[in-house]
Amino acid sequence: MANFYDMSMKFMFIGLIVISVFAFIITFQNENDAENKIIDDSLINGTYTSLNADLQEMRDQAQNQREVFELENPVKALGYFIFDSIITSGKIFSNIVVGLFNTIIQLPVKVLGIDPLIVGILSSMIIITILIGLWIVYKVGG
Amino acid sequence: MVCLGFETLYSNMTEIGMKEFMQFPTTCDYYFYLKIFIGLFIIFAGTLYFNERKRLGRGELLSSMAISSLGIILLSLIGTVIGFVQTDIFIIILVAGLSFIIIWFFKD
Repeated sequence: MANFYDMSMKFMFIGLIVISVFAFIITFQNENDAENKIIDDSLINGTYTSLNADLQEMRDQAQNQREVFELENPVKALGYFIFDSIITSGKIFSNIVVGLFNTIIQLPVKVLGIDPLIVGILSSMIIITILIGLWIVYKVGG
Repeated sequence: MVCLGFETLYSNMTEIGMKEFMQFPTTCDYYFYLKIFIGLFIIFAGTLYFNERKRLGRGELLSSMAISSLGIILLSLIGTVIGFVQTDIFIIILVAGLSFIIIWFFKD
């Protein structure tokens, strides 16, 4: 449950799946001259743009964090290696996971009319999982 | 609810194409194709689930539902291109289908 790596990977894959489905639908409708295109809908358009931005940011941040990690010299302490970059990566990627969740959850909330209370409970569960997962990452990495 | 007859709605029968013919049920019931796709979804998911149970001895309903929703999204997408599935109906199908796929992905 509290595996930060698994959770962030799953969120990245879900973001990828959703954006791929959207891209396929938009291309299919454009190439076949559909009368009413899905991209004209403000909710779908907004979600598609936000997802694009989130995944772009994720790629840039991953690249930045790799560079920071490579530049850092590990410090030995009580049989462990301390890496500050692991902690920074954890903070950045936890923000991205929450951002992706917030973008994707907009769709069922607005289209299917899911109660905001359920969304609140789900986001609390995700935040707690992220916190515990990050603590484990920090404990092992720092 | 007033439902016009086909011949009243399309007085010039020579101008009726595939789109008009398929659109006709939505003049009476806006959610007609949503209901049809829900029915198809239940049939697809049920068929996949019971086939899996027969073959392997155990079935996984959520995975059957996720695979079926992919098929339904594709079918309704073709419907939007032909023009008989309205955009808001397609968005409902898309979001519900994606929800099944995401829940399936998170299950493990």
